[in-house]
Amino acid sequence: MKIKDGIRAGFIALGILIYLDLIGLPKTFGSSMVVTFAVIVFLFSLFSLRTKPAEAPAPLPSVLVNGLIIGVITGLGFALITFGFASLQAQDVKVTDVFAQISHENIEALTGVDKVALREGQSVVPGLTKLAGYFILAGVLGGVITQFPASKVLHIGDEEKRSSARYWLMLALPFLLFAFFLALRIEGVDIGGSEENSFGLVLIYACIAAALFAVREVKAGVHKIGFSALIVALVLVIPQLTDLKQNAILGAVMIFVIMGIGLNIVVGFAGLLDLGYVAFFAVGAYTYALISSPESYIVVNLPWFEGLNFWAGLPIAVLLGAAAGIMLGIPVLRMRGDYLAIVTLGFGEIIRLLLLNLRDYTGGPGGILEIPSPNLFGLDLGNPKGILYLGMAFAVIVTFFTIRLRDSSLGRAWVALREDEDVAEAMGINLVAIKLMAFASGAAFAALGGTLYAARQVNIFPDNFALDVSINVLSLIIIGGIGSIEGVVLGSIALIGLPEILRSVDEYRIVAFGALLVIMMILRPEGFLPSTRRARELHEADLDSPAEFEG
Amino acid sequence: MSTLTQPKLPTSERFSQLFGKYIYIAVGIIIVILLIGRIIFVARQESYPLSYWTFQVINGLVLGGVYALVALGYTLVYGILFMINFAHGEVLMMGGFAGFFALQYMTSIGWANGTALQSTLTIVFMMLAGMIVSVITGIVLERLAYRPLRGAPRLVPLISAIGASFFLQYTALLVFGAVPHNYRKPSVIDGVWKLGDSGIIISYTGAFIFITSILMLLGLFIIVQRTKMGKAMRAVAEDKHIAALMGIDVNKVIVFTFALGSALAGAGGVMLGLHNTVIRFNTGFLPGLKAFTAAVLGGIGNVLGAMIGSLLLGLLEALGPSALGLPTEYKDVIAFSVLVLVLIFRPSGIVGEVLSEKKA
Amino acid sequence: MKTKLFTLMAVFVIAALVLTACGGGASDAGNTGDAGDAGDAGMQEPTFGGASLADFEGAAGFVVVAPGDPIRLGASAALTGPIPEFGLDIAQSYQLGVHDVNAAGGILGHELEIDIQDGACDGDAATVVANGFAADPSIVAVAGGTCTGETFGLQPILQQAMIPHVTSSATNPKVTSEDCTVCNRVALNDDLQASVVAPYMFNELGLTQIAVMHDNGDYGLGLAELVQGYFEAAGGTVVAFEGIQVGDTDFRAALTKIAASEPEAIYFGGYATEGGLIAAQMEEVGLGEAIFFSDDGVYGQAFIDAAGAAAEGAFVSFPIGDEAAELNEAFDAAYEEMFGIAPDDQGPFHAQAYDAIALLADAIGRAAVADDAGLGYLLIERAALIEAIRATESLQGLSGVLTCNAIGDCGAGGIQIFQVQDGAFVQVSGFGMD
Repeated sequence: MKIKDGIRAGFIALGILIYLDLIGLPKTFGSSMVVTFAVIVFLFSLFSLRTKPAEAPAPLPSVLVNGLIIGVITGLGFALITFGFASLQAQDVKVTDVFAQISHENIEALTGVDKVALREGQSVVPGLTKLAGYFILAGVLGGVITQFPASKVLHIGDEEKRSSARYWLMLALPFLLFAFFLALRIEGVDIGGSEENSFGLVLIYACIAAALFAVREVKAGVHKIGFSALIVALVLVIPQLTDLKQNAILGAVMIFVIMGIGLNIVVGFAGLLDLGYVAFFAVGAYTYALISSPESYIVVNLPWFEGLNFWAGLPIAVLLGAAAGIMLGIPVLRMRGDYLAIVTLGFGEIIRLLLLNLRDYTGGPGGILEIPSPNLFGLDLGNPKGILYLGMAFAVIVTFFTIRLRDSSLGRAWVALREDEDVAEAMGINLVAIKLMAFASGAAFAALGGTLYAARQVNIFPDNFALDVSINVLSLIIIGGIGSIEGVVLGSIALIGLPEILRSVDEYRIVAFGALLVIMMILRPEGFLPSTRRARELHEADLDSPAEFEG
Repeated sequence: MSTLTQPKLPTSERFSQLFGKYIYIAVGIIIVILLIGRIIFVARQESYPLSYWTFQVINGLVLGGVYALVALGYTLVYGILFMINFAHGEVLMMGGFAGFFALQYMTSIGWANGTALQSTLTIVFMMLAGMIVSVITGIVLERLAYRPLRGAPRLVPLISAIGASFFLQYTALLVFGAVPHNYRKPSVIDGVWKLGDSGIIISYTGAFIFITSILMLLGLFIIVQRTKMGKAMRAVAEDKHIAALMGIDVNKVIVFTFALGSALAGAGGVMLGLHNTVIRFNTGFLPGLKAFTAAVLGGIGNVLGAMIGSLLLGLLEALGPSALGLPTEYKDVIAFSVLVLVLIFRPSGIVGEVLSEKKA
Repeated sequence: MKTKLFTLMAVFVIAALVLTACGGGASDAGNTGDAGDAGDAGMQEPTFGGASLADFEGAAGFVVVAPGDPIRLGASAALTGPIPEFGLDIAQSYQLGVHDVNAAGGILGHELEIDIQDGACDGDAATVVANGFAADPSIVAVAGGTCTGETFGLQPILQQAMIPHVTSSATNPKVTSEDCTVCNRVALNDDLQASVVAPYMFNELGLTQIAVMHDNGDYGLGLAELVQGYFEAAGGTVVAFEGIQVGDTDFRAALTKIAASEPEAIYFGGYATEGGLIAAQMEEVGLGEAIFFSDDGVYGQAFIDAAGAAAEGAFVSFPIGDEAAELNEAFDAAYEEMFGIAPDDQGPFHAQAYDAIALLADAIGRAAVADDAGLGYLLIERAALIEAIRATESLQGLSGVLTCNAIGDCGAGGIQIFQVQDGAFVQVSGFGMD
């Protein structure tokens, strides 16, 4: 462990702290951020000075010196910068004109000197000395902790016992989390205060995620059947226990699950990179809206036509979606890789702009209002719970079709297409047919999701069908694990469900989302739950084969 | 796909392939005829004066000049790494912000509206600030978000780039605030020429942007074609492994490419700010998307193609709606439709090479 | 290497949890769940007009506020999305409004509290936000949303839950209707704005040929179409009708096309940033002589900043007249003191947003019933609150004197016309003031 490493880690940590300062964490969260920042310094020190589990820890003097360096660099650096900002503000320079978040609240949170005192000339040095002291302490502490590696502290039993215990724990985990969620509902149990609902939802997410991981590892036979049955029962009961908002969020997750499964066919199975997937989502939603809403162009202008209900509109929307998929598919048959991505992106934008500009037919930016909600044998499904159950049912149907397709000869043809288009053609595969099948089925599923979306929203607008929907769907299947259906569910939870909870911390969630995408791609590009085939491929990849599935 | 390796296909398949080819050509011809017919029809009905078209051409060229600077960033990176740098628009936005703050400073010391020399120096200073900040952003982006992914399948860096794009955009929103930052033009480029009675007006800024863009593009051309680094770039674009064997530091070349593309984007950001007098956190998105479209239109990976594609896109946006007799809100529909049509009928773009198997 | 990186990621997650925990803890303490501990032993059971607490607690259609608990409002503001600066302006005005209500003693001894959520100017996000409010039995009313689409997203859910909402910036005429009992707004209906502005241009300014532009958004396009209709009805001609796209910054192509039809003025329906850029770019296409006329979304310092020198002489309509100037000055000062930025720098709708809170506070004050024994309990019947809002009359607000009509339009006064003179808005006409 050289001094140079400590200095480098110190400056990286300082950079991160300054970034967090500039994006306004101290301003938003107050003086608790001093401690949080110190914890970050501590963790940084710990992880940059730590050795690999197998190796012996670095000698104590070395880590102490390095820890001290990290602490001093972050402490002094941060204090100096804050001092600079504070003295500018003391002279009534408007720092907020450049850095919008470096306001008086920021200085107050970090140094304890408020606006009035600052103007009157109270020094910020004592507050900053304290802050620097915390950081230095945290740095040194991080170094000291490296002397106690986890493997030494937590020494549990032999390998066999451990793995058996881990297996059972893994199976039990979803139910434990669910039990925890139930416990929240007991009167008088108060965890998370005003955020209890969000906390409950996080537990539901964790429970589903744990179940998804466990279902892969569970031994075949009685174990698998029993476990799956229990999970299904649990999933069916969840909407009964959650409240309106939780169900609304889970409903949105479900719609993205349906779309994700569809895009998975196009991108994951057939390897056709589609960046304009939202187009089919829009076709589904607008088709249903146009033939059902009493305000739509068609219903208004056809005196004998009163609009269809959900169940009559659904097949029409899905068929039109599939047709749109084929219509896009035909011209791009010859295209590969990135070019395909760009054409589909352009196509998606064209559809949105047409919805916006063909005002006479689509209502333009005013959208289509009063879209009827689904109804099942007199049971009104136009509420979050109903939509969620409907979404689950659709997701199951879509999953069933997808698995059947994947395991059919068509599915194998897709894999061949993904691996190498030319070889696939040489093997006698009809590329035209299978490409169009991929586009059509992907588009049909997106249209299904779109119909459900329109019914859920009641009012739809062109803005709902912008590029970011395509990006979200693509990101979620990649984060979840491309080519795998469990991955789609997990990805939807991570990218659609989690950010919804963080809605009260508005912009931060998008910054975190962006950072997460980058970090994820670096650490685990195959996603959390990849199909085994894809995982293998991704780890073989070497410098010279940049694209092994786009052709 | 070379014809030599073409397998013998069953007759029906061969027929469908042949048929498909003719269908493409036939549909292409029909579309072109329809478009020309529509243009003639509209031209006879609307009968705009010639000065109107000249005016729109000027608008289009200026717009195209800015697109070109940004499009080159996409094309350079794509040419070398075969990846779409989705966050390039955000690099432009960062440059725009830096230029804004530089302008604020120069205004506060009175140079922006001072003598002609001071005012010119202000612009130079702004461009430098914008380029430096953009270059830093670009290099950091490459180091943190793309380099660890070198060699991964293409989807992976694409997603990483999308993530970086969100990250940068909302970082700018948080750090600089949501309020639009308004440029005040330095006095030397504030004003217009009126060309006689024709009604044609050229703004100083527009002329400045067009000329500067062309100069910078020429500079870039010289760097790529004439310098040692340019040669290395082309070598790396051809084959990274062989280039490395030839003693070229591939990493250095890639960083240089990012720096070059980002510098152009930074200049583009400042010029966009001067031209349209506003910069905000999402300013990079639309020009980024358009410039990307332009790069593909011209043939991505090809420097000349990016320039031609950009100017063409600028002209299409300015002239298209009037020529087709549509309201101007259809300009993006026209731009994207042309993109889709060009890619369908000429997948390599207007001047692009036919990509080899590995690159496509 | 891999494991090390994974641990690092875990660290990130932990750090994120710590952050949210801090955020959650800081936001508020009292809420829904602890209504129970007020009924502890030793305390007298409150009654309302003879009926006991148990009859109302948890019953749909009623909110019971325990002693010491705040009255909770929800709010949906566009903090992200295309116009975050407007959303932030509105959210901060809500906060200031709540602060002022509490500084004046609260409502019947209870503090007001507001839970501001990000509606993102998007119907999709609004659905989740509204369901969150509907799921929370302690939410009495909702302020917002910022955009029309967002507001349409809120409405069906709030209607089902009987939670009244007041929007301060969704001006589309369809936002309020006879079918929607919970829908209210303090902003003026676009129809009124257009019906005042178009005749003004024709009669007072003597314009006969204008071009109409819009931002292809729900608000801008709706207003532009209305102005076109009223202007033609008044006898003028609309020589061009062109749209632009929000997020775009170069409008020269559209302006050049408009210039070819030689209008005397351009009416623009949309927001300040685009409005300012259009005004600034008009000169470059030879429309330097034409008058720029726009709407309440453009009113504000942001327009003058964006347009620069070109702002001079531009007309803008806006519902707040000089008569409320004094109140507004006090508001502006308090706002700047609290948030470190002048409200006009951020968006135009802060006065209406502040009034939305004042209106709700006033209506809650009239609809809430204290318990018989004076224990500090408060009973709010949702249906009564909905009626109380509609019954609002002559409430002095920042945007004027607020009076609600039968369909929930509570916008104050009338449309005033302003002109930019020497870098500031000067009122040049007081239509609808009499």
